[in-house]
Amino acid sequence: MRISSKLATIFVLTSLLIIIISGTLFYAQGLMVIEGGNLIQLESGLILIMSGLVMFSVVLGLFFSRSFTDPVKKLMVSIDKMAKGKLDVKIDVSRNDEFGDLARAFNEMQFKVKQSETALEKEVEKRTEDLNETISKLKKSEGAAKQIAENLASAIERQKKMEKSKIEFLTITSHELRTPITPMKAQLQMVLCEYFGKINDEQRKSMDLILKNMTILDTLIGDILDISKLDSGVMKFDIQKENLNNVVESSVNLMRIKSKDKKISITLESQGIPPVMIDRDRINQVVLDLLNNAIKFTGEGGKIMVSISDEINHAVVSVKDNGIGIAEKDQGRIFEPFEQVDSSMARKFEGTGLGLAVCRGIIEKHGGKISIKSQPGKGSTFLFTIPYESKKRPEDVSVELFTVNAGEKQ
Amino acid sequence: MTKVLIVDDHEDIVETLKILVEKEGFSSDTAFNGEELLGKIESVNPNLILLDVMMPGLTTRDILKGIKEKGLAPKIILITVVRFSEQEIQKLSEEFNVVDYIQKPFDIPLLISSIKKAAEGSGKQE
Repeated sequence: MRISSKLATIFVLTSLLIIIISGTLFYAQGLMVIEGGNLIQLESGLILIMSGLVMFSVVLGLFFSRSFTDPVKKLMVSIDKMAKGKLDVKIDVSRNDEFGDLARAFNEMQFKVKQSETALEKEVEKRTEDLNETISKLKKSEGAAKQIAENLASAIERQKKMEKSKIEFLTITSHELRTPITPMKAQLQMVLCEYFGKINDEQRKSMDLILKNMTILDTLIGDILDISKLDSGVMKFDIQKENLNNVVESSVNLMRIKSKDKKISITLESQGIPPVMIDRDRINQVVLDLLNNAIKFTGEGGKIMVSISDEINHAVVSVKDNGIGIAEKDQGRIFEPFEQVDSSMARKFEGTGLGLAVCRGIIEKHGGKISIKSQPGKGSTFLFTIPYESKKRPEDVSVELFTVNAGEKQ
Repeated sequence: MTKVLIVDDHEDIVETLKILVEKEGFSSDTAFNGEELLGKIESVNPNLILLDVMMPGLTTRDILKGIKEKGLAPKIILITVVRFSEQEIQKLSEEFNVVDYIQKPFDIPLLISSIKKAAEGSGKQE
């Protein structure tokens, strides 16, 4: 029976009891008025009836109360079990009342919770698998990264060894090539200095010619080695804070002696400029080479002007001559190795064709630029810049001396 | 008389320098490697050594150390194909009494000038 029906029954029965008791009391009082002598006997009968009714009510109450409390207790025990994690608890659903409905709803909820838990467990399991897979992949990646790092370290090591080998090769080559020239040149100079007795003019002329070509050969070896060192990045630079005016002036003074033979005047104009960070010997080498070129390509009695000027962020050194000049089409390639304008000129002016390429390499290593302005028949001006603050050390500047246009003569 | 010890593994260079040094009025002795130099340096007791920088066997630093360890302090001119920076020369000078370096192929007047300058200090040139 449903709870609502039971409550209705209790209500009806209780109402009936109240009506019966009230009716009996009302009737008994009526009897007392009519037949006062038998009142005590009647009251005893009434008390007996009422006691029976009370007993019945108590039994009925107990019965109904148990039918309420039992399912509630069962429900509470199940909820408690669920709360403790036992999700497979179920409540007996044999009843057909509200408690039965509640138990079914509870069982349904338990089923859904269980289902959710199963789904959740599966999800967790899947996620765990995914996580393990990711960890495994990460471990593999870590292994791969370690391998890459090892390979990289090994490549760097190989590169260092290669660079060391290059330096050793160039040093040994330099030594081996110059070693035989050394006693040849020294002995010739000794003959010319008449260490072994007087020599006549013809002998001197002959010795001078040998010595001159030996010097060209030595310069060529030096230039080739410089080109190789610049190109492979192994040329050493001893960078110090220097006064550029002093460096240029010392080169000018040295070349004034050489220019006397052709009666060429060399003037020097200089502005006060801040000190620069340079390799003194290398910049000297550039200035000497530019002056040497200017003397070679300037006729007798010509003029060479060297100037040092101060620009924003950099110093500019220019070497201007009033020599034969260079055609515009040739100006772009004179800084390439072996790109002297034409071979007949190279022979006439005894150049190696490498000097200007070396100059470009040295200036670029200092963070500067070298360029030319020239008009055939009027002369040439070579300019190079030296930044006051170079962002990179020469070792970190890569120089490309051999370009794709090299060798493609117009 | 200033005694010059010429050390180079190239026989022709040694011969050339020997002629040059003697023509300039110095006495000379020769060695062809670092071991030979260290073996005879005490008996020769030179005032000046012309030392080639790249020879087989002992390194230049080992040779310079060896000379110093023997308690000798001759002046040393290095003969080299490589450039030295001023700092390097200064350091070698302080550590090993290196007074100059000459680049190969050397220029005779320049070499003579360097040898004479070094000999002046020794006060033994006659």
